[in-house]
Amino acid sequence: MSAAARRPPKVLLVDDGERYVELAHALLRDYTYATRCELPGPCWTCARRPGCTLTHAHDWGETEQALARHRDIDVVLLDMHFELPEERLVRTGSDDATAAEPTLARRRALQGLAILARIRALRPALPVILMTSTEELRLRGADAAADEYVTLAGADGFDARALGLLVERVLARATVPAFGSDYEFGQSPAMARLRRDALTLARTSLPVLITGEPGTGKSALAEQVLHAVSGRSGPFVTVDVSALPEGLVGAELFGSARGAFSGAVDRAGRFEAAQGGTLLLDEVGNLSLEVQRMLLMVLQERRVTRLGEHHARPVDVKVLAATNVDLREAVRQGRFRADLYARLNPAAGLTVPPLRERREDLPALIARTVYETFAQGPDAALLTSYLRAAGLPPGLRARARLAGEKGLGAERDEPKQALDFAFSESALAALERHGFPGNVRELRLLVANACLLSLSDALTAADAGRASAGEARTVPIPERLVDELIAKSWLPPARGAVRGSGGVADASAGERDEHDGWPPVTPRDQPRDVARDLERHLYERLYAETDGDFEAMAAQLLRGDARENARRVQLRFNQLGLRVRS
Amino acid sequence: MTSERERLTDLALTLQHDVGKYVTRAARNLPATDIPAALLDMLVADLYQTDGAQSALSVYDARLAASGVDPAQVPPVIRDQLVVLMSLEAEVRAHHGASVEQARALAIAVDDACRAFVRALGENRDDGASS
Repeated sequence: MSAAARRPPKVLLVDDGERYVELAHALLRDYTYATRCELPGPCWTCARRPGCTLTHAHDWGETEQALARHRDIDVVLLDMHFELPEERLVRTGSDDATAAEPTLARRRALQGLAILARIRALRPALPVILMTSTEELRLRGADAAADEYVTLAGADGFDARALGLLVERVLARATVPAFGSDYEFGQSPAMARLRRDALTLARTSLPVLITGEPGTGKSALAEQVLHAVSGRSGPFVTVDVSALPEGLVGAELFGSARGAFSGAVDRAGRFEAAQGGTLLLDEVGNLSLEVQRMLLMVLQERRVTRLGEHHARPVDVKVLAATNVDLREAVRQGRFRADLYARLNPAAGLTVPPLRERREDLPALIARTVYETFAQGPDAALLTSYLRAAGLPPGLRARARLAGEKGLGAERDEPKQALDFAFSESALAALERHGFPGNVRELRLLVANACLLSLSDALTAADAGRASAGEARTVPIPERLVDELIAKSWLPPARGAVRGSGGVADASAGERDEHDGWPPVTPRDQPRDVARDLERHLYERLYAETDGDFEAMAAQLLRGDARENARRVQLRFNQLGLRVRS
Repeated sequence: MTSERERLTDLALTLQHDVGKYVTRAARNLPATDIPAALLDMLVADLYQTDGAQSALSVYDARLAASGVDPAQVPPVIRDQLVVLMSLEAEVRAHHGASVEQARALAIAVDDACRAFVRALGENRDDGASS
């Protein structure tokens, strides 16, 4: 069942003027709107509705804000011509630096395409209805830039009934992940139960307690499912309690008044910031007893009092709490209040299973990781470099091809529209043997590393003219590379992990400090960024340990001829933004 | 494509966007009967305050003048219909039923004419390219 079938579709309007907003207010009442304001509830019930200018985005900057605020947008209505000052216009990512500078008039006339390209970088499969026609694009000398998720409105643009039907058609054929979320549930029975329970709880006002080992995806579940499906129009706000100094947690959560404590200023807390939306209290087990008492009052009264103030402010916030510690045990030991534990609704709590208990989900997770690794950012640039060097068409998407299965991750692509990252049977077996103590986070890091290193290798071969045209569309992921990456896994084994031949052998490592000098990882970090930070840190450390000897680094990182691999390591070193020190 | 041709193309696209689209925003959405006052106000704004304070005809004339295109190159039907539309202003502002209906039909005709102008240029361009 699609999201659109269960609730009114949520529309984001992107237009420099107010005309579509007025039209929507008057005629398109079957939708909810992605707003830029902080008020809860659908646009139609909003007291500000007459004359409201917050129901849409006027330029790319505001579009980006709206996309960040609303994970559950079903469709974007995007104007083409934006009569905006030059500084508010954006360029397309594919602007050719060698081409003649487009005039300001042309940039305004085609700004919709530039915004579309930016939307694509963030949300590859979000349906967009572009308020233009094929004739207009052709006369502008512009490519339709139409991927399968773009529809041109043509003459339907200002006809509300026709536009409504068009939206329905677009939504009917849209293949955005179910429930409007990007969360990868997979197919295992454990995740099917989690999915059912999460979707039920998402639509209630009840607090939700999420438990699970580190790296299982608790924060992602909170944001991409519990918040996205809730239909709440306010923002998703997260606070990692363990990352804050104990003395500041109260002020951070509840806000403060000037003079409440040394250095205090008038400031809203995270509860107020999440007004109308969702607040995730991550690592809730780390709260001090005093903050637990204050939190309990907020949950009971739905009002928050800033530190140093005496009057309470009403808050409408769905509270989610996540932890990897056993709160029942913490209650028994007196470290966690029993009444707060009860308020967090533990009876209906969600437990995200560790990856070792749902190995059948590995293919889907690998596919998702391959796709997302190259969807945007510097790693997308690496993919582009490879496509250029190998003489392949630009715009190919990355796709996982697993031994024994057809390509995954870009199922809607024809074979000619994808670059396959091929995992051999033995490479997959190595992954399946691994216990994944770091769970999904570790898997994503490992797969991203394997793909990036393999692609770097393929780029080197293509630059040297060693790749044949037939081979260029497939980047093999060798088993030995997977083995090497697993062997260098820095995470301690999880309790109860099934240790395979490629797993971590040192049981005592389980007691090590998890960070151990590595960059800290917070729940809001994107897996791609985490992977890159960790890889950069690894390269920095090896660079220091080997006094900048790339051959020595290659000997530690990769199997095979270290001299030959040194160039590969140096290439990756540069791609990570690291520079050789003189 | 000559620069004159480019100017004509730009003008056609501009008229389609700044005049055709704008005058039909409410016009294409008016119910046959019991038209809400809010929609009638939108129609008035579309036709007579198309670009802030300017009427649709003023916008048309301004864009044509700015383009440097010979007015004879533009299908006269667009301006002719706009002139009639302007003559209905007082009655439309008074929500006079027959005039509102006539204005609605004229507004859609203006938009259709603008679109046909754009289409014709596109087809001619293809002809030129293939010849």
